[in-house]
Amino acid sequence: MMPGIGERPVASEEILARFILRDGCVRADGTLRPDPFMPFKHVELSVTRHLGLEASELWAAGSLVAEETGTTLHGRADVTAEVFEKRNLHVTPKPLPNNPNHADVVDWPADKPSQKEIALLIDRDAVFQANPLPPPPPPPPRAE
Amino acid sequence: MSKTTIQAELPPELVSQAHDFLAHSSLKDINGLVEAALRDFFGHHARRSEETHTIVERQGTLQALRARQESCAKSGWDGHGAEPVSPQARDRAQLFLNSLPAGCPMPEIGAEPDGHLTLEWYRTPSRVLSVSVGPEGELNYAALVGDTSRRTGSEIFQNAVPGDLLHLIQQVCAA
Repeated sequence: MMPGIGERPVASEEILARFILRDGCVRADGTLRPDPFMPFKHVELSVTRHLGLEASELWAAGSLVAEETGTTLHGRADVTAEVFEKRNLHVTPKPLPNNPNHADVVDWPADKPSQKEIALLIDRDAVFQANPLPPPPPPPPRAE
Repeated sequence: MSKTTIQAELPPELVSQAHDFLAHSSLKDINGLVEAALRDFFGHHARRSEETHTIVERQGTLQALRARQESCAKSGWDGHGAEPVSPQARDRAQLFLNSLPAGCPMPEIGAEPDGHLTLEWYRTPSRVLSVSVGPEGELNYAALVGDTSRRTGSEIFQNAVPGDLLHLIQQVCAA
């Protein structure tokens, strides 16, 4: 059986999106701060491959993640896989039921200063795109 | 001929110097004395103004710190399973900020998924310093100083900002 498109190995020139699900990450000059590139639990960083997705589908994938986690999708940072590879990291396909294009950036160094340095270097090459979709309306107040 | 009166409180040592000078000098020297006194006076007020600015900036940064901790106080605040940022981490970061010398630029405040707060001094994507502050006073930092120079390090905060970090702040923020 042929692997699904999201299971194919990640090519160096592929663009990967890191969804930004918190406020306060964008600087006054429109660039992104490095904090969202710090790996979760020190081992991996979740990204979504652009592979085969229209822009609207990509934003929809981000909105779904925000909905599932009770957060707001503020935007996304686009980075090519090559930027991670240059720092000795690897991008592994990790399709999820609700996000077949999901991948993990792995092989982070164990020590935090090195992780921070890599986050700064990735951040330098990342392109931030603000979410063009209006945020969902707040939930209505509960009836007494 | 119009007459302008400047009312200002001169530092007492300048007044004393002026009295001594007038007692022992001729009229032609007085212009120089007045000029020096004014220069000192305005210099003194410029320093006061700078100190006031620093205090206001620091207060704004401390407010941002409290707001950031509150907004990241629950698990998963980043949508990717982050640890909560604790009041202890906020208190350590506040101590750090209050230990910065007068006139030092204030950082922007952020947070990381392990529950540490971040202090960022930024000029360009290639001139930036990020310091993480943990609940036990752990300081982890990384800096890009130009396209080729990088620095990283770890320290434990002991109520004084490490000299290496002050030097990096100066390098990153220098005009």
